[in-house]
Amino acid sequence: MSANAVISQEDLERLYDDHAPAVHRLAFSLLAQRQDAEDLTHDVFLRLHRGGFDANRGSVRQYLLLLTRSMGLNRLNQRRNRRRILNCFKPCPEQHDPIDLQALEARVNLELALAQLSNREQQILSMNFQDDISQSQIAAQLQLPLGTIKTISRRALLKLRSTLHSQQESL
Amino acid sequence: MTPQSQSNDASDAFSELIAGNVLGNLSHEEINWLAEHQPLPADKQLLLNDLQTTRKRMEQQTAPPLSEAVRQRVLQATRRREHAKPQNWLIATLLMALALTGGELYRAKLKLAHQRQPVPSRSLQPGDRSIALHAVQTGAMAKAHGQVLIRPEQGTHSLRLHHLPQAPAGKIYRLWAVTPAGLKGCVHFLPDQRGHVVMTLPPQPTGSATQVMISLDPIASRDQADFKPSDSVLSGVL
Repeated sequence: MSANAVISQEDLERLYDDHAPAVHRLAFSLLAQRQDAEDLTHDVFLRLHRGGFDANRGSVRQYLLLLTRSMGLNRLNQRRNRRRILNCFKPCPEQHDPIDLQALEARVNLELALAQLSNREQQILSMNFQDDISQSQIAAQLQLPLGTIKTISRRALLKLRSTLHSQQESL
Repeated sequence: MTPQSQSNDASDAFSELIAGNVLGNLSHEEINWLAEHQPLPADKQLLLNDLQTTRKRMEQQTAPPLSEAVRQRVLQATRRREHAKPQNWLIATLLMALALTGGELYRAKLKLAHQRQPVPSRSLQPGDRSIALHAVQTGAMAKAHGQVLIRPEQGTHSLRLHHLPQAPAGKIYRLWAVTPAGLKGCVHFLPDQRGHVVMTLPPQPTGSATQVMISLDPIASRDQADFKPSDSVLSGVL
């Protein structure tokens, strides 16, 4: 995809299928509310369709995750402002609810590291952690030997750890 | 196979067993083998700890299933936008025709308005100081600009920035004030998705600034009291 290219409907469908789970995971870990996370995921993809993505400045996944982070932070700030206004009318002391930017960066980095895995590795880890499916059930669903699933998931975890290490060192 | 490659293979197999242990998918034989190799060598113990942390992070980063309705909403909204495009062109053409027709009248009114109201609404009051910020880097950062407005009388200072690129992962923007007492760190911030920043600043140290700059710093620098910026992206002098 070239710099600021117009995204066709077909491209958008493909990009949504490839990246929406990662965007949604980050959105949910940031906003902690299902409806808010789905709304944010929706808005991030609309924003992508409107343009602004520049392939010369990084991958689509990177762009989408940074957009999610930025738009998610705005929503958290709006929530905080609403709470602050409501607190003016309550006798309780104002709550300080700082946004943990380091934890947020760690979540973005984890999603970027997950994107480095092969599709099969991502699929198996996602089924295991996200959908909480046992490895023998994964083997049955994907029609692969259990030993293969175990090997893929072990190597994927090692790769993930190695990528996260490299990210830390590059900071 | 060389002894070196044999040693690497053995180490890889050992690492995979540790990963299997963390994932809880070891067979009985593998569990027994690992038990015989306790305590683990220091590097493998470190690997075990790292993998446990990675697993924990994975577990924390789960979300409820994403509803299919979101996909439909996204695709419908973008289809509507594409269908609406001809209408937009029609509206734009009509507006342009209207603008051309009334252009002269509009310009005349504007001229009159400027003559009657020479002071813009966000003009400087007596005692106010404005520091314009300009990019000191090329590339995507070159378009970034803005200003720090210091209003000592009202005790409200503000920072406005435009076209500021999104901060890369692990980085955050920070405003710095050069004061007679030296370089002082002010607020941390990130731009919104349009690259805009509008925020109120605390009275000090901005109030004593003779020069301000904006840097792009690692997030971890927030906790370092003696951190000095190295990556300056915008600056301005009073």
